[in-house]
Parts: sequence; C-alpha cells; structure tokens
Amino acid sequence: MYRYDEFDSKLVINRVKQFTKQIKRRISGDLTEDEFKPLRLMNGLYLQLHAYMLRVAIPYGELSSKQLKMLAYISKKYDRGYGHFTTRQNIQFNWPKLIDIPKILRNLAKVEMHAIQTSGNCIRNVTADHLAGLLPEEIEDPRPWCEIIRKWSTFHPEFSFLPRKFKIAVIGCNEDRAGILVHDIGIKIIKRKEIGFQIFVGGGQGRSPFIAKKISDFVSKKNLLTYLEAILNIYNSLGRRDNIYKARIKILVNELGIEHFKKLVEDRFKLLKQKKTALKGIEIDKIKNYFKLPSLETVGKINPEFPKNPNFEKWLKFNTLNHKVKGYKIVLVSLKSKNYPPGDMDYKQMIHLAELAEKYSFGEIRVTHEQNLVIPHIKITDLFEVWKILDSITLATPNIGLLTDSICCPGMDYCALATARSIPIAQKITNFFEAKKKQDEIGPLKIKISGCINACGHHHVGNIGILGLDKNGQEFYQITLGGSSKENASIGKIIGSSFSSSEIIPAIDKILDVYLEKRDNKNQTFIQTLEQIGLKPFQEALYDNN
Amino acid sequence: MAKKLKANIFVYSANDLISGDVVFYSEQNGWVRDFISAKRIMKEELEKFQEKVSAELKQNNIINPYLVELDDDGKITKLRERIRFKGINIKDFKNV
Ligand code: SF4
Repeated sequence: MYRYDEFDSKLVINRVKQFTKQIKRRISGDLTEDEFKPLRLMNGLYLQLHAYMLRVAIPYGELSSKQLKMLAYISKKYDRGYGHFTTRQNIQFNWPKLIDIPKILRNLAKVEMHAIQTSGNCIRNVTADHLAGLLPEEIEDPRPWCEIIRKWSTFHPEFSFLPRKFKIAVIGCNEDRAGILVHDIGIKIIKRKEIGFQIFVGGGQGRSPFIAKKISDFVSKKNLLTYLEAILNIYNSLGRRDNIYKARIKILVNELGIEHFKKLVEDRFKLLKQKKTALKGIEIDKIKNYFKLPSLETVGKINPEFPKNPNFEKWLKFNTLNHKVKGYKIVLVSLKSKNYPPGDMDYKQMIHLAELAEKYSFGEIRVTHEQNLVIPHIKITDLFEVWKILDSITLATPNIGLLTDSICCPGMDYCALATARSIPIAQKITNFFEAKKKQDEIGPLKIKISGCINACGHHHVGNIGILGLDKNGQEFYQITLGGSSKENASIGKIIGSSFSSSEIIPAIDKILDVYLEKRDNKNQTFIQTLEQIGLKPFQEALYDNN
Repeated sequence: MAKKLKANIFVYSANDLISGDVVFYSEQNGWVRDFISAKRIMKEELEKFQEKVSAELKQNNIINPYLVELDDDGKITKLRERIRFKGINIKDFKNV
C-alpha cells in the first residue's frame, strides 16, 4: 500500500491547520457564509438536507485496517455511528458538526487520510479497478498510475479552478470494473511493443450523459502526465464557465467533435513535450514499489473440505474470486444487506472488518465504486472462518453482481438536491426479490438508482436504471434499460412514462419476467437479450393494459 | 422568492452554523430545533420576516435560511421538508 512521504504529510497537516483557522474565523463571524462556502467545499464539507456532510477520499479505493478503524472511531465519536461508501471510492459522514471538523481532519491525517479535492471544480479522487494487482490477466497494476496522477494533480494551481469538477479513472485489465468510459478522462493500460495507455475523454453522466471517446490509442508512460496536462489545458481555456450545465468536458468534446478536440490536444501536447520533463523510470519504479503484493505463500492448488453449509456455498459462489496467487481468493464484501442502505456500514462492522483484514489479509481492504468492499488476499483454507465472521456482522450477503447488489445514491433521505428518495426503492427491491427467490435464476444484473438527474447512482449505465423524479410533489420513477459502464459502455434508453413509488417494484418484476421468458438460455445476459428483442416486448408488458 | 411559493402559511427553517442541526425560527427564542415552536408566518407577513432574517443572519449563527410551506392545517406540504423535519438514521431503513 502507498505510504505518505514527507511532502504528503506536510501538505495534509498544513491544510488541516489552514482550514481549522478558517473554521474559527467563520464561527467568530469574521467570515460570512458566502466567503466560507468555497473554502469548506475545497475541504469536502457540504451542507446537506439535515446537516453538514464530510466526504473523505479513499484514493483508488485502497484502505488499511488502521484507516478503517479510524473511520469507525470518527463515525462513533463525531457522527452517528456509520458512514456511507460512495460510487467514487469515497466515504461520507452525514452528521458531523462544524466545530468537530478540525478534530476529525487531524484524526484522518494521523492515518494518512484527508478530504482534499473531494469537492469543488478540481481533479477529484482518482479511482481504479478495485481488483487492481490481483488478477493474472492484468497488464499492469493501475494503482501506481493513480498515485502518480494524485501527486501531480493535488493542489495543482492550474487545475484548482477548472470550469467544473473533473474525474479520472484508471484500469489495467480489458474488463472495465471502474467505468472509465463514463469519466472525464478514462485511462486504460495497454500493451503494444511497450506498456502504455489508451486515453478516453469526455464521458460522464448527469443530465447530459455521454460515453467517452478515444482520443489517443497509445501514450507512453513517460508522457502520461504531459498528455493529461494537454487535455486539461484545452479544457481549462475552452470549457464553458457561463453555464454550469454545459461546463463539463463532455460538453466541450461533444460540441467541438472528437477530431477537432484531439487536434487541439495533440498540438498542445507537442508544445508541452518540449517544455516539460518526462516522467522518469526511476520515479515510476519508486511509486510502484509501494504496491507490491504482500508476501503470499505459494501453496499450489488447494481444495479443502469445507463443512456442508448451503449459505456458505452460495457466498463462495457469488462473493469470492480467484486470486492470481494459487491458494488465495479475493473476497467481496457486500454492503447491500436487507438491514442497511446500500453502501452504509456501521462502526462496529468497520472495527470487525478491520480486525478480520488484519488477521487474514495483511491489513488490506479495498472499496469498490459499486459500494462494496474487497478483502484482497484470503487463504483458501481460511475461507470458512472468514465467512463465519462476516456472517456474524451482516457482511456476508451472497449477492455480488446480482440484482439486489444495486448501486444507489443517498437520494432525498440525505441529499439537498434530490427530487425523490432512492434508498427505500433499493430496500424494496431487496426485500421483494429476496422473498421471491428470483435473483439466482436471473443471474448477473445491474440495477442502478439515482435520486435526481445528477446521476450519482449511475442510473444511466444500469442494465435497469431508475431515476427518481418529482411530479407535482409526488415521487415518480423513470426506468431506463440497456445501460452499461463496462467495456461496451452504453447509456440506457427510457422505456416510457414513469411509475409511482407503489408501481415501480411490480414494473421491475414485469421487466425481469420478460427477460426470463425471452432469453435464449441462462447465460444470455440482460443486455444481450435486450439487443436481440429490443425495447418493445418490455414496453408491451409494462404499458399495454394502461 | 415569494413569487414561487404557493402556500398561505410558512415557517422559516435553516441549519445551525456550528452543529449543522435543522432549526426553525421562533418569535420568542430565535432559532430553535423544535418545529412546534416555529413562528407560523402568513403570506402577507413574508416580506417583513424575510428582511428580519437577512438582517440578523450574521449574529444568529445560522446558515441557508429558507421558507417551508405549510398547508392550511399547519402541516408541511413537501416530502423533502417532511424528511428534513423528521430527521433520519441508518436504522430507519431496516425493512422499509
Ligand atoms: S443523484 Fe441527485 S439525489 Fe442522488 S446523491 Fe447525486 S445529487 Fe443527490
């Protein structure tokens, strides 16, 4: 795992000191709210529906046991005993008091964490594949590249006041688990003669969703930052600042056309290459050293006899993956149980999970953009024991990738911008489909739910997307079908008029019935079936009797 | 602001600067957590109270004041405001 160098520590501590003074000046009345608001936002502090909300970065989703224990401590001492993992590998505390923020930030700094650049029009937390460094098919681990970008972009003066927020994601496998094509910049590590990067630009969700377009087929390692800088230069000078809805880079790329945008970037890149120092191999290697696998014993193929237990077997099937080192498994921890809102975790669960990771997985934990956690290195022989512990703390729901493993934003229960609630819809889906025992038969399926058009719940790229709307003061839900954030990314299509909160679950049920009836076989995915039969059979099932 | 509002009765709500808690304007005790004590403001009094709240913003240690609409029985009309008034916790979602 990455450890702060002297520079990182100083930077974070100085920022805590600076923000502490700003909070004092706000409380004493020396700063008005108008003056203070941009300062608090730069430090991840929002005002939400009920209270302040602090968003803490988990760079590229990597968390140590020590850090998770600190998050547990903070949530118990300064919040209401829980935290919410977001779709961008951050954690949010929903109830902190302004007066406690300096203490919270000092505690976070002790474990090399902060809330910098989790808000505002800057380069946000760089995200990565949550299975980075764990799979045999990976070309190269994306985490060192995320860290290199993080170092370069943190407090970069030129990129602190971009036209709008800016999100970057990096993957090292062909399979995309980070949704790079719905990011402002998506980076895919590829192998030609040497290893380098394919760069995609202009993806995003919100009210105008776009799939990113390829801007470069190959950028060498030494030129990565220079190329990113060229893109950001062009965006910074041409991106719109007069209209918040048109300020993201996706709008600029779409208005100029990718060829024109690319030409501007390439010209800029040529210029910058002459002026900027390329990344040196020695610097890259230094960062890479932090991300080496812990010393896992190679133990050959292991097939231990586990006690007969159907719940364990189901969990083994859905919540574990093969690790690149024989004898180990990757364990996926579902934060989508019946008991809590998607992505929420209470402090006791955090403490137990941190201890479990300490004992069985070298103190390493990952956070996924699908609001689950990963324990990366579990010995196969420890699996039953690990499952028992997870089960005892409601963290063994065997549903990874299934329909009850939905992504869901906080919606109107917490968010000041929401037009409808999203958490109760996710909960209803879970309760309804668990009772019907339908989800195993359906197999992998992504349902994604947002409480407003800002699309933090990624509804545009859900196989089934649900968007909460306000219709004359009533909550309604619009359904889109066919979205995906994978390598074949696509934006879902609106199926028709929206449904009230009492109609939405039966509507989803009907959609799933059509899928089950029409698919050729159980391996044909929802998206493949939809491509084959089109929207019409779904629309007929939903609207014909109206 | 008043133009967009449809109701006849309102309360003023905001967040406490230091705790972030939801607060309501009461005539006797300033900004309080208790909705029951909130001053019911009639449509025709809106301007007077808007001026008062803006003028006192600094010394009152509150942020983001705005008007919440009530129906003629004094109940909050909008779901968003009802959720905000009720407050919420992780346990509230068990078996929705
Ligand atoms: S999608 Fe809308 S409701 Fe959901 S968290 Fe984002 S802004 Fe809030």
